[in-house]
Amino acid sequence: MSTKKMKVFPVISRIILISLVVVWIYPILFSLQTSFKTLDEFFANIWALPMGISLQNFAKAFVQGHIGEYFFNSIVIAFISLISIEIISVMAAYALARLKIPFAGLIIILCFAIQLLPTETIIIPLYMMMSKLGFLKIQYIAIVLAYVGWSIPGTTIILKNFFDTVPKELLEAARIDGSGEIRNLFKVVLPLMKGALSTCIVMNFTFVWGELMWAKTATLTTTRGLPLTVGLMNFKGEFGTDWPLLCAAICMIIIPLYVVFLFLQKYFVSSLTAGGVKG
Amino acid sequence: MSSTRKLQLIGGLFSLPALIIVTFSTIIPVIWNIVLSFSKWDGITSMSFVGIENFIKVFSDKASMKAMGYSLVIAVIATATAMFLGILLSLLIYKVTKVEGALFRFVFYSPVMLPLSVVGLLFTLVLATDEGLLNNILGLIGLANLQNAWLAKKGMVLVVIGLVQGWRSSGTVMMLVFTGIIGLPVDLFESSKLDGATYRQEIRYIILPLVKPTIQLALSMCVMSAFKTYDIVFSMTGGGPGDISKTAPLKILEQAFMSNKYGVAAANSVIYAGIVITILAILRKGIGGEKYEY
Repeated sequence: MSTKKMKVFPVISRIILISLVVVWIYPILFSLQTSFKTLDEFFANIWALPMGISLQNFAKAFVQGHIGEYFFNSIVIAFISLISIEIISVMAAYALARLKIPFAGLIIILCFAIQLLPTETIIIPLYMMMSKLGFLKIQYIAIVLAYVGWSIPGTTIILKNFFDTVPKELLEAARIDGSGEIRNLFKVVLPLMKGALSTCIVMNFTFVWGELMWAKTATLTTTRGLPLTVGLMNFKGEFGTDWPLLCAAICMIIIPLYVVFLFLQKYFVSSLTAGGVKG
Repeated sequence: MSSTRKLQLIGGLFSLPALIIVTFSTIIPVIWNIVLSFSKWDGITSMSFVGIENFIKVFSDKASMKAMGYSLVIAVIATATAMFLGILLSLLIYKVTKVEGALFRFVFYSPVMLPLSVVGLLFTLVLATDEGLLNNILGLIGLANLQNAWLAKKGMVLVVIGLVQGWRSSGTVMMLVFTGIIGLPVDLFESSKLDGATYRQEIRYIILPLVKPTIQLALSMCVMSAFKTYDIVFSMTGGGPGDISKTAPLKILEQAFMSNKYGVAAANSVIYAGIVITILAILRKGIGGEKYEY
């Protein structure tokens, strides 16, 4: 009985896994197939393969649907945000771990607590602050400022945990040699932390690239500087049920992400466990 | 100046940028939000203190309470789906070969890195009533009587959104639990093999009890992300049709930016945050229980 079970299990588990794989990727393949079709072709038969590989929908979505412009905005926002987050967090984490800041433990607990707050409790006053300061009128700045501020606590925790693993002796030796703290940080510690930093970059990128609620709120009064997430919603509003066009837009966003994911999967996974509240 | 003092001074300088920007973007808004929740303000005239009036308004407003309920329904369904799928996947993947496992993990984890709004849009295509993938597949395999207006029926729409959200988060649970399982000591499995234990017995008596802390961690992460119902709802239905999928975050933003009732919106968001944090606290305390050392 039990030996029979042992042989059946591998087969059944693979059948389940493979059918789930279909559930996971078929919608994406279907939207890729649809993106090559014309609207008439789609309504004639949604299953049929496209007549040819026409990139017309992609071109239309990119130019007329402004997906190209949104892409550019998202890249600028992500670039400025990520650089600011990493530099500011590295400095803060280094200070917390190695520069004997008072109440370091309390600050870390506060960092954890901040992450538990739903964003809904922040964005109404933040919108008014940005509006009063005139930041809403300047492209990107309102979005970037919020993303940087919201990402620093989590990133700092991960980096501080990393700095705690760097041997103290290493820094003390450098200090005795008369090396300054900034030099210490960049010449001695930073080269050791490629892994930890990549993990943080990937984690912050996923958030910055995919955030919708604040980006939407911060661009309520403007049509300039919209990131991809907000742009895609406008695109949907404008082109409604032109499914092939919508599919082209979706594919343009999804496929590059899959390529990035293919190469950086390791860091996606480590960002998951690094940020977790343990215990 | 002593060397410790000097280090502290440099430390202060190093953390100053972080302090300023976090204060600006999080701490001041959160405090102001609480102040706002006790005030009446339309955005133009001056603010006036009204005590708990806003909270009473939210609690007695049927639409706000409904929105809160919708968020809860979606969060519960999303969390349950993600936990079930994630644990199932990790247990199945643990038993296949290394290469297969890596491939499966890549596929099942990939939705996690996609923006929720894109996932939502992709699923409006799957779930559309006439030209949607799901209804067409059901028609094709002769189950036309199961076809449904997935995103247009009261109640149904919440279940469907919850399932999609849970589907996306299941990769997180799978990855965490899987890492937990491969971290268990090998000799435990060896001795259970000698005793002739089946995989089902191994799961029940070895794996699940020992990865319990990981499962708890995954659960809190799921609950936290399951209450972020704005992105997925906005991209799938926009809160409609009518109000049948208008969740709390959408309601809060509407109260603030469409009706200019900032005080009421702030009170609503404080209540919402209270609910989320209470649930997280209960989960952490409630299912603590015994932990095994190995």
